[in-house]
Amino acid sequence: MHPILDWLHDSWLGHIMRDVPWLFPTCEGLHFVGMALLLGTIGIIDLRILGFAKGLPIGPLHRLLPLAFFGFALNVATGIAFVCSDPDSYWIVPAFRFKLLLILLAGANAIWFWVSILKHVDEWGPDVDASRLAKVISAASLLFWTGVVTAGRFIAFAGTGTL
Amino acid sequence: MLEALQNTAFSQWLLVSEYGYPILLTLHSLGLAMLVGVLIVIDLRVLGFVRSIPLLPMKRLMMIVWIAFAVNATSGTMLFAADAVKFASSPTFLLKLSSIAVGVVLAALLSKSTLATNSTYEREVAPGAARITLQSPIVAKSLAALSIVIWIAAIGLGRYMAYE
Repeated sequence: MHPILDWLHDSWLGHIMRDVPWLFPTCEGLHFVGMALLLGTIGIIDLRILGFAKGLPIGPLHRLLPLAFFGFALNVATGIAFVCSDPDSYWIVPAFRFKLLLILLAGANAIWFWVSILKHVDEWGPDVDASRLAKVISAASLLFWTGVVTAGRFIAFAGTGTL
Repeated sequence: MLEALQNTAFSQWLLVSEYGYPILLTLHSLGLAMLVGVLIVIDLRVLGFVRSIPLLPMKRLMMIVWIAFAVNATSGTMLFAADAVKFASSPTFLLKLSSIAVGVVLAALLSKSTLATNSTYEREVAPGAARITLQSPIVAKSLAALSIVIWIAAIGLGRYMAYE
């Protein structure tokens, strides 16, 4: 297989993920908690921008973003640990590659939000509509993150029987 | 009865179909994310984080929580039906259900009291008038903290079920 996959497999992380029995399930639990923090936070902001719960001002909602970053960091860390446990088995699964692609798209979308929308969020107080562009980006964000979760769940059902 | 449940045509189909099981698991995961994620944000706000977000309008977010709960109760019942005998005898599963029951009661209490339109939770109360109710900071904050712990436990127990 690819040398990078071999290197991940033989890393200390790969070894402990395979050798310590409780580690993999614990990381899975953390991966789901991270998912909830990420999607819950982003979901609230996106749905408010799209017009739900308009009593909430959009500016202060943005202060929740560190919680989303924390969830994302937790999931990158545990996600890398899963892959190191058995890199070849993950890499050959189309759902896994598709999940990585969707994470990149969600990230690019978030950067677009950062660059074009963030400076306006304090203008959108209670009962104020967000801009059309903000709504487009938020709808895309919901779509991408839903896709990430869906692709993630399908990884174990690729039929290889190894994950 | 549990055996009859897992022998129904639906349960049998779920086990052999290519997409039935992963689609239900996906719905269960998305429901989990919105249910627990949104509740933790509300709990953290009650605990005093991000005070710039007005508390009472957050009650509207409870609608997301209840919809997500309905999605997960439904998908969870279907997943249970596929392997009813195993799940019903699993201590982890029963503990997960108990955590969820407590978590739902806590969410309903916070929603109906702390986030109620007439909530005095963050209003100035005349000295001596303060009583220990669900709107008193110490009670509301304890419930919010317990809620976070209990939902993370429910997630952990749910994941652990796959390893029994």
